[in-house]
Amino acid sequence: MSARNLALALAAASLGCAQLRSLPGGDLVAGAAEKNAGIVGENLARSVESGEFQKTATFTMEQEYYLGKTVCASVLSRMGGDVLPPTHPAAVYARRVGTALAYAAADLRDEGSRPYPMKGFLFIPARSEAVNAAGAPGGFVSVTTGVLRAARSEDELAAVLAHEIAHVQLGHTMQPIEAARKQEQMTGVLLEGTSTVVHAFFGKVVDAGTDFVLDRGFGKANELAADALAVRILAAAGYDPGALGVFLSRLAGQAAKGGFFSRHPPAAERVDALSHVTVPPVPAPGEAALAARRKRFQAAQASVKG
Amino acid sequence: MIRIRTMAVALAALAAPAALAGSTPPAGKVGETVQVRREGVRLMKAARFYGTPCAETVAAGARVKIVERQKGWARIASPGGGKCWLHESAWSDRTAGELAQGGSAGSQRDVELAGRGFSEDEERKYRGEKPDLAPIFQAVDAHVAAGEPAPEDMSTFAFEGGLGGAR
Repeated sequence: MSARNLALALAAASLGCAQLRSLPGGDLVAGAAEKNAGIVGENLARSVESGEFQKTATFTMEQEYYLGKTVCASVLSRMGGDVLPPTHPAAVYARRVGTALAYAAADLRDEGSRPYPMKGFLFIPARSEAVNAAGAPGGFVSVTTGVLRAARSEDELAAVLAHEIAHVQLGHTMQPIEAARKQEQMTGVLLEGTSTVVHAFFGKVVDAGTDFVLDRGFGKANELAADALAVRILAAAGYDPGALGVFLSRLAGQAAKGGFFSRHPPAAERVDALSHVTVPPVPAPGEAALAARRKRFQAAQASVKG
Repeated sequence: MIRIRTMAVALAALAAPAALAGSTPPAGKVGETVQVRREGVRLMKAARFYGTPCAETVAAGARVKIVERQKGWARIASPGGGKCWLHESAWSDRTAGELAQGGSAGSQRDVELAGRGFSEDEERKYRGEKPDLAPIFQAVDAHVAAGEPAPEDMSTFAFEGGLGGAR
């Protein structure tokens, strides 16, 4: 970059891109700025693929919330976009099961955990045959009705939701984004004053975040860590800690169909890893409690059939 | 190139508001005052999520003094006359640009600036550009508005299903 162009780049700190383009050589710098915002997406991918998370930095929970909300909308769109309203019986049910797990997870937090989401965890079902669920920054958990139909008990549904809660609590959903801090300084300078580039950056991160939570996954180590924490969350909530292994084993062949299984390590490997996770014994629920779980699970399942 | 980068970082740093400098939120020890960061948090009569909520509420931004700690819970001086418990998730947060490990001031500045893009304003712009996503955003808004179930609702749900602290 020449000194002239550097000066133009710095001028962008106080000028919008439209104004910048009107300067001599402005097109060059404005174009470079937009391209630099595009590099963010490449940095995200590289950070995750290389497992290079050593120099990450933090965002506030408010920043995470606004990013996560938009990623969630993008994820739900990719899931088909038929989102159940919060008053739908299946949505009410998922919200209750998920919140019970979120409370248990909050009590398992340690120093390495992300803070509790700004507006709590939100469990948003979308009508889809695919068996899929995705946790996004800010505690937004999207889940397809296919999961509810594939599960055979409340405990199995809880296992899937607990895995997504674990990704959020362990910071996996923000890790690639925080790792993208390695972008070049010019992006930083331009971000300060040019709303166009700030917006381009936001759009890139939303696209990249959607790709990660739906397609790429968070890497083998993180997936196994999320499984392990999910088992602890299940136990702490009073659910069967073995439910995740049961669900995975039964649907092992789903990988070929995409969704929840395709971006994870093979089910057999996950089940094997789960066998090494130890949790305090969970008192067996009484007959009345089991009957109540079964009844409400079946009611929720019936509400999404047809 | 190194010199150019250094200049750019230095100029960016000159423009950095002091408020962006990282500071760790209080750990929430007894005697400390913490600021509630979350919306919709509930005060409980015991140090547990399930059970009876206090009639009093605390809004995001409120400052509360901790008089007792039990694991993740804190009994606060007021509101509630010292009888209400607040979970630490209500006040824990991170500071933008706070480096987890290593890094330079310039890199930290990058993150602070990058974080500027994650805001309500950016969400509004994004929604404006994606009219096809409008029904989905509206549905997400409805779920956000619904929020977490009421404590009484969760207590009943947990008790009937023999879950967690409700046993």
